[in-house]
Amino acid sequence: MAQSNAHSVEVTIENLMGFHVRPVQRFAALAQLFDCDVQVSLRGRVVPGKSVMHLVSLGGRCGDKIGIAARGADAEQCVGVLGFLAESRFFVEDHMDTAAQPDRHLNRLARMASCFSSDIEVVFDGKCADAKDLKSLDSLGLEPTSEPEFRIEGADARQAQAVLGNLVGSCFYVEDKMAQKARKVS
Amino acid sequence: MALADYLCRDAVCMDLAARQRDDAIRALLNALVESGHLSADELGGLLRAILDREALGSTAIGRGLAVPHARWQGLDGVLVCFGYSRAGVAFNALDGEPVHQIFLVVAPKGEADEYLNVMQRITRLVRNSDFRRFVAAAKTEKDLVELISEMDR
Repeated sequence: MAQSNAHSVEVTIENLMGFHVRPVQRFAALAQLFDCDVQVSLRGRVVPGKSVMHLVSLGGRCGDKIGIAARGADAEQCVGVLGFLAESRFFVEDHMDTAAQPDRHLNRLARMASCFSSDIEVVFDGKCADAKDLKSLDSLGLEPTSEPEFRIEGADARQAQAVLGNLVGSCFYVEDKMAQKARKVS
Repeated sequence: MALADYLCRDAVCMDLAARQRDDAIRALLNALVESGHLSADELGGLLRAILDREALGSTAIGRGLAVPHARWQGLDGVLVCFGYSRAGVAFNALDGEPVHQIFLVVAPKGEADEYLNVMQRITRLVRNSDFRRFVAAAKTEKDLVELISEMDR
C-alpha cells in the first residue's frame, strides 16, 4: 500500500428516511475498521466519519449529497467500502423489495471484497470460491446466516478480513435474519 | 422546531430505577401512557417495535446516550420522552459503557424531516459536556426540562 494517500467520493443519500441512526451506525462501524482518517461533509459541515454522534448530528436528508474523504495508507479501500455502502442505501431494507433480491448477500460480499487488492478465497462447507466473483460465490450455497471463513493474502489482508468479518457477523445485513439472530441471543 | 417542542414534559423520568435496557424502555413508555400521550393498549406493540429496532443494532451510540425509537401510526408529530439514570442502564452500547441519558423517540410512520431534526438536536446536545454535567447535577424533573430547553440551540 502507498505510504500516504487521499481518496474521496460523493454519494447522494437515497434513503427516504435520510442518514438516520441505522445507516450512520453501519457507516461508522465499517469506517472504524480502517487505519485512515475519515471525514464526512454535508452542506459545508465536516465531521469525523468514525463517530456515530457526529454523523447523526449532520441530519442528512434524502437527496442530500455527502462527501466521504479518507487520508492514509488504506484510504482507497476505505472509500471503496463506504462508497458502496452509501450507494446501497446503507443496506437499509425498509422500502426494499427484498423478494426480488434473494442473492443480495452474495452481491454485497463480492462488491465489498472487490474493494481490496488482496486475493480473497471464501471457504464454506468444504468448498472454496473467489470472493470477488459472483458466479464462483454462487456455487458455495451460502445463506445470509452462513458463517464462511476467508483465506486472504495481500497487502490489505487485515482490513479485508475485518470488513468481511463484519459482513458475516451481521448476516450480510439481511435485516430479517439480523433480527432473528438478535432475538435468539437475547 | 426545538427539542423542547417535542419533549413530553410531564413524562420526564428524573432517576430511572431500571438497570436493564428492556425495563428502562418499558418505564419510559409507561410514563408516556400515564401522562396521556399514548393509550395503554398501544404499549405492548410499541415496545415490540422498539425492541425490533434494537435487534438491528443498539441505539446506545456513545457518551452515555441511547435513542431507542420506533415508527408508530396515529401520531400527530414526533414524541420525545427523556429519562436519566444515575446508576446507568445496560444497553448493549457500542462502546460497552452503561447508558445514563435515554431519549425515547416515537415518530409518525413515513415522516422523515421532524425525526431527523430531533435526532440531530439530541446528538448535538449530548455531545456538549456541560449538558452531561448539568444533567447529572439536576435535582428535579423541572430542572431537566429547563436544561433541555436552554441548551438545545
